[in-house]
Amino acid sequence: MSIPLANCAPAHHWRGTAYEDPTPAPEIPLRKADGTHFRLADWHGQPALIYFGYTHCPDVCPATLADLAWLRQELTAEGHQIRVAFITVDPSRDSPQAVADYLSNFDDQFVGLHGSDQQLAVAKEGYGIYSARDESGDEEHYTVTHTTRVFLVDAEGLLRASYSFGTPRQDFLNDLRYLLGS
Amino acid sequence: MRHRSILLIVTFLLAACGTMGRGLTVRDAWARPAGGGTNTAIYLTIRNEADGDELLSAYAEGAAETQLHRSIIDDEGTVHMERQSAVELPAGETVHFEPGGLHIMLVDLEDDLQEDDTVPLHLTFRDHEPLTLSVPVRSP
Repeated sequence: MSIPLANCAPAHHWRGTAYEDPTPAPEIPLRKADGTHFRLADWHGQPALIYFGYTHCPDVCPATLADLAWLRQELTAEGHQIRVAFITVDPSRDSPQAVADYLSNFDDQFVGLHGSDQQLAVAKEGYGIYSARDESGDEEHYTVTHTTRVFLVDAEGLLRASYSFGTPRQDFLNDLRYLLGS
Repeated sequence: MRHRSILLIVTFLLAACGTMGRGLTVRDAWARPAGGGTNTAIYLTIRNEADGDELLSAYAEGAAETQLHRSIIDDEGTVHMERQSAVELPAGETVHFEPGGLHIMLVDLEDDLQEDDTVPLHLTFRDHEPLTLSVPVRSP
């Protein structure tokens, strides 16, 4: 009788908050900058990171996107490909082109997603995202309170883990290398 | 007041060499790259070896407005920002402006801020003389 080798492998110690029973990542019914519909299913075969933010965010969003750009660069250098989706929680101020321009400051392969308030509400509900415009400020200058977690989807489209703001880059790298088998 | 101003300048020059002096020392300042028309932040560290003071305001050239802010992240991972009317600088303590916490928010940049650019930043304190420094733009 042989014992499958996989049973002998130590369990992966997730650095992020792992989903104990991974389920398919909710579809994101939004549009890309070119106006076409986004389908998370089209990304199956590669791990993906999903983040909700807004382009006028001065602190937490760019810090997170800089981390994800670094991560993608590291993994690309190792011969791997990962996807990154950025969903604006400020669709009234963030035009699709503004989102695309903003993301190009970090990584021109990041995909920005945009939709109506109703479409955004569906996407937010799927990932348990909260966002609300802060009351201070005027029509052009305001901040948005929002969930800062990053979500990791594996190559089969399963939601595997999420990460709080400030997670060390090496922790992301550790979990992604595990999913990529390296 | 004059001698205090000189002390501050000397202290700042020493700090640039990595030496701590007595007084206020601003170190490790950097600004995150960003596109024109958007917002970004400056981060730095202020060490106060003198009596307690307050940072009252910041003004960054090239931004429509400069504000003192603190990002606050709750247990659910939700962030909201609180504008600060001033930032306390307790005697003998170091105050860190860093991602996810205190930061100097640059609103509505006139032009792109790219790596190797610099941002002239003017800081005003309750007791110490104002300070101007040239903040490098870099990606962490």
